[in-house]
Formats: sequence, C-alpha cells, structure tokens
Amino acid sequence: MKALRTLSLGALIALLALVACSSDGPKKPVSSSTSASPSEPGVPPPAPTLRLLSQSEYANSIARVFGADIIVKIRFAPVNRVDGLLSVGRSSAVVTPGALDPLDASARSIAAQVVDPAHRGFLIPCAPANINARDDKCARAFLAKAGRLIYRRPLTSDELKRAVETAGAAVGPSGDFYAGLRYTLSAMLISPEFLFVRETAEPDPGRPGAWRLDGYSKASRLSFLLWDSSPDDELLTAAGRGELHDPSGLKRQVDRMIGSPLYKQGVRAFFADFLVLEAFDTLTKDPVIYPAFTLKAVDEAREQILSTVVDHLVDRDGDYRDLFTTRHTFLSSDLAVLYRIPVDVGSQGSVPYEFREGDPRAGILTQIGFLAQYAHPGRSSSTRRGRGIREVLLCQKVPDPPPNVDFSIIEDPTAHFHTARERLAAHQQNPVCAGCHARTDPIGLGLENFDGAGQFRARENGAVIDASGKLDGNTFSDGVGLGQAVKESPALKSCIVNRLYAYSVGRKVDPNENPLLEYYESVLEQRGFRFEEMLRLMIFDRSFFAIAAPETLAASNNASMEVSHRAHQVY
Amino acid sequence: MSGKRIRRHRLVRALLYASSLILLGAVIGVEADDATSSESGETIGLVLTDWRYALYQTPGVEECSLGLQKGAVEQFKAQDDPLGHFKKFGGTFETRGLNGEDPNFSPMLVTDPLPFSELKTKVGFGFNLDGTSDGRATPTTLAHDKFVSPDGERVDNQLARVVGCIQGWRKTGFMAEFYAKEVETSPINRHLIEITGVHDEQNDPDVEVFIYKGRDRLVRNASGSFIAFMSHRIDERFPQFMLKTHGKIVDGVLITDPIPFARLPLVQIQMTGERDIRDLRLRLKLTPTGADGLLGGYEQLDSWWNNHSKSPGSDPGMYSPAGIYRALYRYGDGYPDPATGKPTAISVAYQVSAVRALIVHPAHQAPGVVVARADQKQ
Amino acid sequence: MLIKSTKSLTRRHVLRGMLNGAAVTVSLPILEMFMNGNGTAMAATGEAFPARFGTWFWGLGVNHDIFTPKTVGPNYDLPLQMQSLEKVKQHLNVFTNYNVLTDGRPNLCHYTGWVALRCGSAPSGRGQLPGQSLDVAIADAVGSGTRFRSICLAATGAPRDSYSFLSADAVNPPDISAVEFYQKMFGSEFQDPNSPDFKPDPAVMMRRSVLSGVSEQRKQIEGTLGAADKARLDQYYTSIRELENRLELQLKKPPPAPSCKAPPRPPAELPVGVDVELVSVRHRAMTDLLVMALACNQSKVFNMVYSDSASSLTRKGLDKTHHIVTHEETVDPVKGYQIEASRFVGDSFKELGYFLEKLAGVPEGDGSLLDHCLIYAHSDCQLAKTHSIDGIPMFTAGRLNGAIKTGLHVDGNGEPGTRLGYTLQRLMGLPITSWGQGSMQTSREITEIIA
Repeated sequence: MKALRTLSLGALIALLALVACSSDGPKKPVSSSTSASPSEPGVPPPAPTLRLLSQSEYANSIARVFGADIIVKIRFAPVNRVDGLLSVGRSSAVVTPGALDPLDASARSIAAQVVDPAHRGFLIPCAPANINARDDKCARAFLAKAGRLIYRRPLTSDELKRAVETAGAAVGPSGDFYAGLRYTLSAMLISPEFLFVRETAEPDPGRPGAWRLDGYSKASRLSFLLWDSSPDDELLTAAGRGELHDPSGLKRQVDRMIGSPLYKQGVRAFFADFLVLEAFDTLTKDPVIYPAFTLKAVDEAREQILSTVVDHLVDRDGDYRDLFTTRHTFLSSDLAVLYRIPVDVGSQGSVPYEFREGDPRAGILTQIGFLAQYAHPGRSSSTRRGRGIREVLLCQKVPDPPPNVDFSIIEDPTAHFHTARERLAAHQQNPVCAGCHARTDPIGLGLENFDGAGQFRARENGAVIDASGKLDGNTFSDGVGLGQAVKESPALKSCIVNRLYAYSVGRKVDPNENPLLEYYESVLEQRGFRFEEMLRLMIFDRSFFAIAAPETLAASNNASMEVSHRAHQVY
Repeated sequence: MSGKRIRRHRLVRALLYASSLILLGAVIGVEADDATSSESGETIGLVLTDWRYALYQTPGVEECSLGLQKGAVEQFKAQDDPLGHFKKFGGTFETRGLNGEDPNFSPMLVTDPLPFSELKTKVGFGFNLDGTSDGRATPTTLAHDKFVSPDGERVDNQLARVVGCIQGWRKTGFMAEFYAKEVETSPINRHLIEITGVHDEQNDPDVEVFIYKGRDRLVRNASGSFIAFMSHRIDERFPQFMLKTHGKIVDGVLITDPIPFARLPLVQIQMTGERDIRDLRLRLKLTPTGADGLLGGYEQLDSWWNNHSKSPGSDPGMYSPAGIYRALYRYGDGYPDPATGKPTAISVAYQVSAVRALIVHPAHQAPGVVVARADQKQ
Repeated sequence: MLIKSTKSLTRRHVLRGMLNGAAVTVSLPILEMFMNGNGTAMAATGEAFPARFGTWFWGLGVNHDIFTPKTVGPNYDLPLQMQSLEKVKQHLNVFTNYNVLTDGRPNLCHYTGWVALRCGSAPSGRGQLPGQSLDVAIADAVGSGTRFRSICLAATGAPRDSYSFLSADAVNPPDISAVEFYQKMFGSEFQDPNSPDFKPDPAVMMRRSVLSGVSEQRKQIEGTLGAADKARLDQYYTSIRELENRLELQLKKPPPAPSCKAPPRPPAELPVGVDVELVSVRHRAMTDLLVMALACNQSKVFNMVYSDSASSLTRKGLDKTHHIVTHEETVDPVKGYQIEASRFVGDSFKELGYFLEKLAGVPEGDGSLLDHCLIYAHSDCQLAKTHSIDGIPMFTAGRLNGAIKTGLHVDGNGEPGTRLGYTLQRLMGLPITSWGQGSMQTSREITEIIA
C-alpha cells in the first residue's frame, strides 16, 4: 500500500512538474508537506564519508589545476568493488604503503613539472624577487591559489602559513626558489586533503538540529559526480559564498556543469565504473582462434561502449533504457574488422555508424565490448553473458556455483555438441545446476549468434544457431530481441537508480533509503529515464546533501568548526 | 619518345584519367558501408602484403652460369689500379668510371672487368605476354627466349635474366627484404584490388577489377599474419593510379585482361618513384582470407632504371649498375622504338600476396583535399 | 631479522617500532635463534645475512595421483608432476594432507582455500578477508631496515592478482610490469650498496622533512572523522611514516651486499595477456629482477603470484582457460588424470623451479640467497575439478639460515594447514603463541622441519 501511495504521489508530483512554467527544477512544494514522502527527515541521514580519489579523478583534477600539459603517469592500486561500484569501495579504501608509493612518485613528478622553466611562466602567477632566495610573498600567492584548487577549499591561515614556511625553508643551501615551491607542492599533492575527499558537516540553519554538507563538500560532490574532477574556481567561489545552499544558486551551478564539455567526462566515468570496464585492461582472446582481436581492438571496443553511451544519453538526451536497442554507434579501424564493416577512418578516431533495420545488432549488448568481456578466450559463454546482464544491469545476485559440481555430462568425449545451446542443455536438465543456470543461460543464449570475440556467426560447427531465449518471462528470438527484453525489464530501472544514487553520494545505499529510491523510480517512470533527468532529480532533492552529525561532535568542536568555517571565508 | 608516341601516350592517359573521373563520379556520395546488392554481385577486396620478383631460385644457385653476380665492390677491386683510382677520386664502387663517374648515373661510361652471370635455367614464372610459343619477334616485341612455367606454360620474364642472379633481389636478399618491409609499412606502396560483380568466388566469367592506391596501414596479429578484412580507403588524391579492367575467375583463380598502360606508386629502397607497366595483368589464386599469385606485364625501362639507379643497393645487394643497365637493354623485349630498334620495356613477373580488405570509397571530396576525420575526442 | 650489527640496535630503534603500532620484535630472541642455526651463515664481514620471507602462489592445485609422493620423510620419491623441481628438491619441503576447515562456512570456489592458508581463517563470503595475510605480519616484524617493506609481483600482469593483504579494503597492490618493477627497484632512486662513495642526497633530506609536514595536518583532519574513517586515516599515516623511514634509510650508507649487481637496463616491454608462454616470460623477467633486488637488500619480504586462484591462464589454440579445462576435461582412462589440466600444473612447477633455482644461484657467504630465505608456496585447492580444500599442496623452500630442515615430505594427517603458516611465522621471529580461528586455530609447530 505504501508503494502505491508513493506511486500516486509521484504521479501527482510529475503532473505538477509538467504544469509548472519553469523546467524541472529543484522546487518540491508538495512532497515536503505530506508525511508519507520519503524525502522528509525521519530517515536518519548518512554519515559523512572519507573517499579516496580514483585514478581518473586524480588525473582530471591535476589537469583542472595545472592544465593538460602536465603529464600524469600513475597506476592506482585496485580498490574493492562494493555493491557493484568502485566508487563505493573507495569510501572504505585504505592507502597501504604499496598504494602510497606511486602516489608519492606522481606527486613529485607533477610538482617538478609545474615549477620547471617551461611551465612556471604561466602556472605560477608571480616571479620571485630573487630566484635564488625565498620570496614569501610570491610563494604565498601561488600556494594559496593552487592550494585552494588542490584541497578543494581555501587553505586555513595555519595551513598557508606552514606551507609558505616550508617553501621558504626548502629553498635550501642550493638556493632555488622554485625548489622550495616544488617540495611544498609535492607535499600538498600527497596530503590526505588532496587524496581523500573528506566530507565536512555543518549545522543546517534552515532545519535546527539537522546537519548538511558544508559548501565545499557540496562542491566536491557535484564536481566529482558531474565532471569526474575537482571543482573549478567558479564552483569553489560559489561554495564559499554559500550559493550552493540556495536552490537557485545550486541550480545555476548544476546547469553550468551539465552544460560544460566536462559533463561527458563525468558520464563516461560513471559508466566505466557501473559497466565494470576495468575488465578491458586485461581482456585478451586466443590469437589463433580470434586473430583480429588485437589490443587496439580491445581499446576501441571499450571506447565504443562509452561513445555510444555519451552520444545517446548526452548528445541525443536519450532514455537510458534505449541503450539496449539503439542502432546508433561509432566504429574505429581495428574494431570494424570484427564487425566486418568498412569504415572511412584512419588508424585513429571513429566514425558514426547506424546499423540498418533488421541487422542482428542493436544496443550495447550486441557490441563487441560486452560480448567479448563476458566470454571465454576462445568461445562464447551464455552463462557469463547472462550473469553479466543479471548482476551488472539488473543488480541481481547470481549465486556462486557449488564446489562439487558434476561435469561428467559435458565431459563425455563421445558427445558431439555442435552448438553451445546443446552443450549447456545439461545445465538445464540437472536440477542441481538448473537452479542458478536457469537465471543466466536463457538470457545469454540469445547472444549465441556472436562468438567469443563478438563476431557474428549464423552457424556453429555447421549447425544453424538458435538464438531464442527468455528473460523473466519475456521471450525473444535473437540478440535484438534480448535487448528489447532487457529494456522492458523492471529491474533495469531500479538498478540504474540504485547505482547512480550510490555513485553520486559515494557510499553504500542504506536500506532506509530504499523508499527514496522507489520514489525516484516512480518519478522517472513518468518522465523517462533520461540521464540528466535522473541526475537533477537526485541532486535537487532536499535529502541529497543531508548528512549526519559528526561522531566526534562536542561543544568545543562545535566552536572550532565555526571558526574554521569563518576562516574559509577569508580566502 | 617520338611525337606520335607522345600523343598516343597522352591520349591513353587522358582516356584513363577520364575513365577514372567517371569512376569517381560513380562513387560520389556512396556511404562507407557495403554498396553492392546481391543482384549485381558481391565484391572481393584485397590489399597487397608482399611484392617480389618471381624468380626461380635454387639453394646452390645452379640456375646462374657464374653463380651469384659479383657486387659493385668486387668489380671495383678487379679494375686496374683500384688503389690509385681511390686516391684520385676518393670513392670505390660509387666512382668507378674512368673519370670518376658514378655507374648509377653514367652506366655506359663504366665497364665491368668481371663478367655478368647469365640465367641459364629454362624454368621460370610469368605470363605468356607476347602470345607466341617460341618468343619470336612480333610487331610489339623483340625475339627472346621464353621460360617454361611449372604448369607447362611458355612465359616471358626477361627481367628475371637481369635480376635473377643478384643476391639482393633473391629471397632473403637485401633489396628484396628491405622492399618487402616498405610494402608492409609505407602507404605509398599500398595497392588495393577490388573485384566487383562476383557471383561465384570459384567460377565467374565476368568480373570487373579495379586497382587503387590505398592509404591505410597493414596490421599483423599476434601470430605474425596480416589481419584480413581491415578497412582500406582509396587514396583519392591520386587518380593517376586508379586502374580498371575486366577479368574472370576460373577454379578460384582471378585472371584479368591486360591494362594497356598502368601506373603504380612506388617507394623502393627509400626512393620514391612509380612503376609504369604496359599490358599489366594479374593471376591470383583467391582464398577465403586473401590471395597469392602473379602480377606481370612489360615494365618501362626508363622508369625501372630510374627507380633502381638512385638506390644505394649495389653494395649490400651485390650487383653492378653498369652490368644490369647493359643487361636491361640486352634482354629487353617489349615495344621496341621503331627508330632505334631498342626495347622501351621488358617483360616481368612479380610474385604478390594479399589479404582480404574492405575497400572504402570515401565520400566525395574535391581532388587534392584530404578527407577530414570524424573522430570525437571526449 | 637483522641487517645491522647489534651495535645499532638502539633502544630508540626498538621504541620506534612500538610507536608505529606495528608488531614489536624483541631483538635478542631472534639473535639467539639465529645463533642456534645449523651451518655457517656469517658473511665475511662478520655480519649475518638477513633472513628473507617470500610467498609463491599458483592456482588450481595439483593432480594427486601424480603429485603426492608415495613415501614420507626425507628421501621421498619425486613424483611425476614434481619432476621440474628435481634440481631444487634439496631446498624443498612438501606438505600434503593438510586441510582447510571452514566450520560450516561455505567452500567458496578458488577463494576459501587460499584465504584460510594466508590469514588463518575461512571467509564467510566472497570479497571478505577475515584478517591480514601472514606475509604482512612478518613484514611488520622484519620489514623495516630496507627500502621496501615488501614486494608484490603478479606474473599474470593483472592488477588484482595479489594475495597479500591487511583487509579486503587494503590489498597490497602487485607490480604487474617487469619494466615498471625495474624502474622501482633499480631506477633513479636505487643506491648501489657496493658503491665505494656514498653521499646523502640533500634532495632526500628535503623530502623527508617536507613529509613530516604532511603528518602535522593530522589532528586537524582527524577531529572531524568517525571511528572507521579515523582508522583508515591512521593507516594512511602509517604508510607516510613508512615512506619517511625509507627516506631516512636512504640517507645512511647501505650495508654492503656482495652479491648485488644491479641489472644495467630494464627488460623488454611485454604485451598484456595470460597466455602461459607469455606469463612464463613475464614471470622470469620479474624473478630475475626480484632475486637481484633481494641480493641488493631492497626488501626482505616478497610475494609472487604466478597464476591467479581461478587460473585464467590460456594456451594458444585452446578455446578455454586452465580453469575451464579443469572442469570440462575428461579424466584420461589410461593415465587416470586430466591431461591438459595437468600440463598447466606442470608449467606452474616449471616456473616454481625457475624461481627457486634463480634464488639458489645467488651466492651469499658459504651458501646461496635461497639458503637465507624461507618461502611459502601453496595453491588454492587440491583438485580444481572438485574445488577440494582438503590436502591443498604446500611447499617451503630455503633453509632460513639453517633454522629449517629441507628435503622432507610431511604428511599432515588431516590437520589444519595453518600449522605450517604458524610455524613459518614463529621461525621468522613473530612472538605469537597461536594463529588462526576456529578449527583452523593452532599452537603447534610442525616440528619435523625445525632444525
């Protein structure tokens, strides 16, 4: 009953939204008054997080602060994937000594480049009075400016004082002003204030007793979500002025950020995480069986997924569900070999391509990337593909196989299975296997027209391939039909909402938040699952920046926080 | 060249150019994806991956009267007073003339003390270009000895007599392998073959065959073979290298009608030039992923010499430019100059290999304009 | 174990160990234990050769019929599947019939086995690591005093292939590229211990003092954090301190290492992939560098993963991975085992053989580098086909300065496999009195191997 109420409430809100003269905005006049609304307080808000930067966030942040000319060569230690996302895992990730090493090397390398003669002219806003001596004034100017962008908030007066002192002392016996800056900068880049995104809570003046993320924490959350990068100067300034606490100020920044070219970078980052594209870093196929599956083709296959996603969700403002049926995509030179399609492009780059009506391919599930990722080195795998769809796209857990599986049926050397379907029939017949395999194989069998490298085939070992299957009662006869079935699956919707929400707040979804997610889903049901729509719905919800009071809260802490809050205003 | 010949030459070229423009017009606006329908037949695309002289070779070099040719340095050492010559002119094989002439540029002013090794085998590879069974003179050819191919055909390959005993041009030789690498890596040597109107890859009496210069790279897979079915764009900047002819497929072998005058781009041992081949024809055995066979015709002596004389191959490749220049005109059998009786071309056969390619006709651009790339860097 | 002479074992040194919060090693017992060892292990300088600890992992077990030696004790027959280890048999002990007991927790395929053998306890769910791996405990005890606390390598080239961990959120990342590993060990920051001239690099001094500034921020940040996040931040600062200690070491002249010969140039770059031949090339390139890094005292603890626990290794022309082969291949009626699957096992032992031969090939004092090592090699299961975690094959290699006997086949009689891990930690000087949880808890060393 509660679900029904939520649904009709959602419909009402949607109706109001349609009728309202401005476009979908942050106003929520109706929901806040009804006690049934899940976005009311009463649901305990989550605790602030301490989230480690990802490799791309790190690199993009450096590019933001110092420009794309600075070379960042680093390999981050892998992070635990929690609830389907690395982004969530990063809120519990630990920096071991082995993980710190590359970060330290990178910090020093970046600092050295910033102060080198080629870059100092435009990256450092002043020149020292004497290049061989300390110049606190110039050091201060640079470190305050860079520090604010690096720490994603202004330096406190103590921090700035210490940084300037370090820079001066580090000028050293060799007497090099820039060496001083270099050491100080490398210390900043290894500081947890850079490497971790530390959410800070402050009392919410609008709701006594409640807490909210402070302006700079809001800025970080927004920019890592929308840009996969640290906040720029304008966003930090808006944060400092308290504009992100005001709905119209928030909207102004969000509009700007979504309108920026960096938005695509953010969309790509989410999907790279959500679709487990890290698999492409180590994806290879047997070179005898699939000789055309070169390392370049792997890169291009990964890129094809992201290009398709960005083109569909951003350029065309398409519905997320249509990703599984769209015929629009992009092809590059080495990838096209696997598709057997001629492309008018050289060795770099890609060209837009539309599959014809009736082509066996449509949607990202029939792209080389997905098909190859969930297959064996030398043959296809319906089970893996089915499992991939269940776990990644539908957020449904498929249990592990039991340890003592009896493989004797398929081990029979006298059996002549032509197609995978025949070989996997044993999965369906044996009751021990069928329980789990019934959840995966019937889905994946719909993709059997594509071999282990994703290449199309009408036959396997001479026998015509039957690519029929079903997904939760929805039957189909080929890969295009499978895409349609996935598109229509209810779980597809709740899964994307769940994942995007977890990604945007950077932590596990608390079970108490499920009503909120159901609410989002019902709204999107009316409005369509366009990506921008999803983001705005979440960002402008009053609960988005709500946070629990800090654990260590005490009266004295209260006071010191206000002091540091005020101190932020100075710089 | 005589005025008459020049005019005819120009006419032929104009016709060729016109036909290639018509061709170009025919492909204007055609999308990069497959344009043929099954009624008009399928298209087979090929890109050449290897190009060598088709030579009969034995490990013991029994086919050569004096074994392998003596190289330029050995010829120099066999001259009178090589040390004195060196002191006077400062070089060895490159200044071998009496007055220090470079044999590559003044071959007739340089003599070889050591004799030229002659190809004495009757076995050879190539095409029956002159239509005769015994190599007698015809209106367009000079009398010469033919070879017998392994299939028993009487074939013309006079250029084999010029290069066949040169170590550098034989398998694993300096020039052969250097050039093979250039065929693999240089877009100048990118030769595309498009066979259209194919209804049966085993037997088809009537197909069209186009030859183009391409511009895209060849890629090897992890086992070292070339990857088939890569897209290869036609390089539209060079209409002069666009050729067309008819052909047929017999038992899986493509046999083309001769192309009267074919120009092909060339970079060979770092020298850029072109091949000019008259009556160019192909005989290629088709496979599901490629083709192997012969390309032959009468190669113009002036352009052949132009390509070879500038290359620095004579030392590592073991030959004497003076020797091969003379051999060129001694053995040349094609299109004798009516005024002098000297040959202007020489019969040749090249052994070529190819892999299947998807030939891409770029959307029409003005000649000389490079097609813009449609990449979206996010 | 020691790298410095007893003179420099100052109180300050020991105290710092306490302040780190790391496991404290009391020096004297180690010294005694060392003195009790067999054989001569004193170098020409009168200094002891440092004891090193390493692990070596291969996935998907063995084939019992051709792996398990028929006799127990010394001079056991070398079975068919162990033939590649013939040259190093004298350095090995092989342990069979030791079990992993889960106390009702599920046997998670290609997971439970190695987790239990590394941290002493079976996990409750996939992705869970109920404790730190023993190499981490050992590195905490003996890992200071060298430039790197420990080295982790993955011959597969895959970034997640590491079985060295503090927790599920703190897995020690492996080096996956031999070239990058070379740069890390022997690149610009390498100090040749045998170099006649040594001058502390002022840049290093500067780095060290600047790093201490990073720690000064700590109070300001910690104050806002909850308990769990504070613990994570603590670990970060521990890593910073590690780095500081390492830099401090670089300011001192390193003790001489007679067998140290830094390779002059990095190895060739290798493509990504887990073809078994490629993995062999990568494994050997990494091993060659590792062995020299140990000889040059860059670390005392090392971990090598040859193949991951569900071995994704492939072979040219085979459409499936090693893992799938173990499940789909028929048992040969004549031989009685899976032929293709056992080929992969054979390849694994070829590589283990190479690894140990390389270590044995570096002279140190009267013996070799391997003589001063204690290596723990094991798999994730016994028979991959059934995911059996009973009788997971384990080896030790090396004599640990004479503290351990070698050349033995030890039959575990169904006892928990943690007995070996416990024994090894004790041999490395950890002052623990038990290891493991539940049925895997043990306080009994495998005395047969203790010298």
